[in-house]
Amino acid sequence: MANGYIRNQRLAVTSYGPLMSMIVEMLVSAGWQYKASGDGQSGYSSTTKIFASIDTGALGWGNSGAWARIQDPGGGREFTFQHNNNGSLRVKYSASAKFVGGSPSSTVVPTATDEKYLAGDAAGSFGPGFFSPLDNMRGQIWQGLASGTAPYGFWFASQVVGHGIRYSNMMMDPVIGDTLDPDPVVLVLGSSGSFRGLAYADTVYSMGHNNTVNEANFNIGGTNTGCFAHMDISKRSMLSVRPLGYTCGALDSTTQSHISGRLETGSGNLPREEIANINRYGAGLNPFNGKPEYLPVLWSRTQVSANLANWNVGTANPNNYLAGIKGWSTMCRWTGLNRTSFLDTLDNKKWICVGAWWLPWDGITTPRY
Amino acid sequence: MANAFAAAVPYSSYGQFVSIFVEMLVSAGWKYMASGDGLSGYSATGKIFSGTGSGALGWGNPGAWARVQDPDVVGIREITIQHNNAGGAIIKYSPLAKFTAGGSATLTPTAPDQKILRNSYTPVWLAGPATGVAYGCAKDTAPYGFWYACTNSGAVSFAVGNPGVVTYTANGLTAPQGTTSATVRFVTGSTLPTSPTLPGGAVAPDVSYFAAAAGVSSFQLSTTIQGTGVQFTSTGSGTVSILRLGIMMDPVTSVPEDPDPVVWLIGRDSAWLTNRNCLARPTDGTNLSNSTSVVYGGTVEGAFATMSADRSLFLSVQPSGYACNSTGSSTPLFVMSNTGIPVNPFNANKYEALPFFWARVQYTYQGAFETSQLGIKGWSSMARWTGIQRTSCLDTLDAKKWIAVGCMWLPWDGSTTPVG
Repeated sequence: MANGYIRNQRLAVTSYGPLMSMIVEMLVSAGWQYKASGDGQSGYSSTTKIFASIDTGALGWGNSGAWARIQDPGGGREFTFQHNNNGSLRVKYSASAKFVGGSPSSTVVPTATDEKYLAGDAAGSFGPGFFSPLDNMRGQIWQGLASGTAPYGFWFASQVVGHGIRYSNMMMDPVIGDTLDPDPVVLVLGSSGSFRGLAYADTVYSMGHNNTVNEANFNIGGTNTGCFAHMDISKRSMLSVRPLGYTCGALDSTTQSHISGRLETGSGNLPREEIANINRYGAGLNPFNGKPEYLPVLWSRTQVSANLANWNVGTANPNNYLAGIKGWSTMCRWTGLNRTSFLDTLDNKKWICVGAWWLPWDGITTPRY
Repeated sequence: MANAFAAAVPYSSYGQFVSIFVEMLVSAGWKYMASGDGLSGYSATGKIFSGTGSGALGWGNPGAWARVQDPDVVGIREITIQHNNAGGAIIKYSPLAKFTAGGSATLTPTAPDQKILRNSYTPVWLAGPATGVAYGCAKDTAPYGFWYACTNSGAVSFAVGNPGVVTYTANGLTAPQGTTSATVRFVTGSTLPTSPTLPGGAVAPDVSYFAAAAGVSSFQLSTTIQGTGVQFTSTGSGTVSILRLGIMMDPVTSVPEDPDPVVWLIGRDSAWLTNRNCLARPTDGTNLSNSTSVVYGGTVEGAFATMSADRSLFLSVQPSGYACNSTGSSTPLFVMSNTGIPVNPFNANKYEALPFFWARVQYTYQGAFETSQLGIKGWSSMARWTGIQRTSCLDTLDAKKWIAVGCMWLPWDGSTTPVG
């Protein structure tokens, strides 16, 4: 199957249905399948796509509560996407068990025994403000890719034209890790500031959660955005993970034995930027040829309980799981310099710059902002 | 030709120590191009030495030296090494032009592009006694990377206490990280302190090697014993081994425009350690030892590389660690370098071994801008991060294909069990 894309989509919409449709159809065009859906009113299919329209009304994607269950082309992973037509999503993920349980209907999504809420919760809440207001949509441009080959990673994001703010990003990033990893993917969900570099204190940014909102206390689902992955062989919980940056040198003039530092070219002496490193400020150009750098990304869970006794996998509190490396990203590369538009591409347009990352692109299309 | 190793080779003199190094290179295909015995023996074309002791044609004389050239068919890189038979050494590197000018029994030749990686006998390169164990590897395939290190060992004793007290009692050894930390190998006849306990009350799990470094929770995978925070309920004794000097030519995966894609690591006690003396120089600009001010040569420890396409800049570089955002008021999170996460969460029996690149990272403090080129030199082909730093040579990985030397996994011979 060929890859699926969202290319330079700039939509003037009156509901969020066209956006939901665009996202899901990108996956479908890469081989994902509708396995069930509901239009949020009375239309429901237990096997496939119910939608005949991307707007409001019967069989429309634009109704509050409209949802779809989709399955990857290999019959492995599944997602359910549901929206409230007010800018928020409820997203569930099943690594292997599939959404075959519950009492699905036109407004109720099915359940899976291994389901994890990436956005929203079981109580019926929707997640964070995933989309920007409808009035702003004509000022945003969308890009995305769904890989047509296993393990079927995908990403999409929107960018406010001329502004630097991104919204509505999501990624399933297959990783290269230990062979015992039962679910070698990282899921990323972000809204404002998505795909941005590290070193931001704002808790809504998808990649740079800090020690104030540390990983040990940061859970998947609800209104949280971030990066999550299974970090134990039993797939008990999906935990917050983060993309590691590269950093050199000692922390400060008194601390020894720590690698940190910065790869920036200007001043800036805030301790908080000591490890801003290659991601945000980094050495974006090679010193020998002036070409943009392109560095691999390692996902890791870095924070655990200070209590050693709680480090064991399987303790009651999933946040106390052992920290460690999830694996190497197959979708992302660090750009070195954070971009605020989609304009830059690399290697004959095989990569597109999205915030702090190079992400796979189609090799043809010149991005617009 | 095959890779060559200094596979835990004992030495008992400075002459032997230097000879082991050079002969390791020669075994991998490097060639003696000239040498002098520090007395009157001199060869302008090859090896003059007939032994490692002192006297005529011996490596053990002050001023003895050798010029060696890499195995490439046309010979690309050369080094000269000269020592004072007291632990001091002068080491020069020519990336291309070669050491073809001058040379005598006591004087090394020169090259127009030479970089003097170490150009003073004091303080000595090889600190401690002239008795120890040499470790190293020289690759037989282009671009012929190599590394070389050594350890000294001596007696160590433990006194009852909370914290317990670790005392070195022989050979004038001092631990490179302070008197409370050392890597200990309990050999036959050693007396392990009974019930050594760790911070938090956990009992050390391994009676052969045990470790406790305060704040390092994966203690069972380390071989570092640290007096601070360790409670001894009985006395004990053993043998302590301490990692000493290091030199490495690390071929890097770089861009085609890089005219000399190797990094040189040169150091003494801190050679393989991520401390501020060598591989983790501060970047805050408040300390004169930061990487902006570090210049190769003298007795400076560090890593250096050509950083410009015209070869005009040979600058301090540093290995990249992995880290996450530390925004906020808390301590940054260090993941992989010295204090790191050494084992995989899905398979706790496996050590991590992460690649790193070398980079020049320093900006200039307080307004002035660095004229030297910042950026990435290239990915190391010789080394991987261990995650937890060792202070000796004991741990191996992947059927002994790698050996832990300080903070790095380095290539090993696949068969030899290191001895500390």
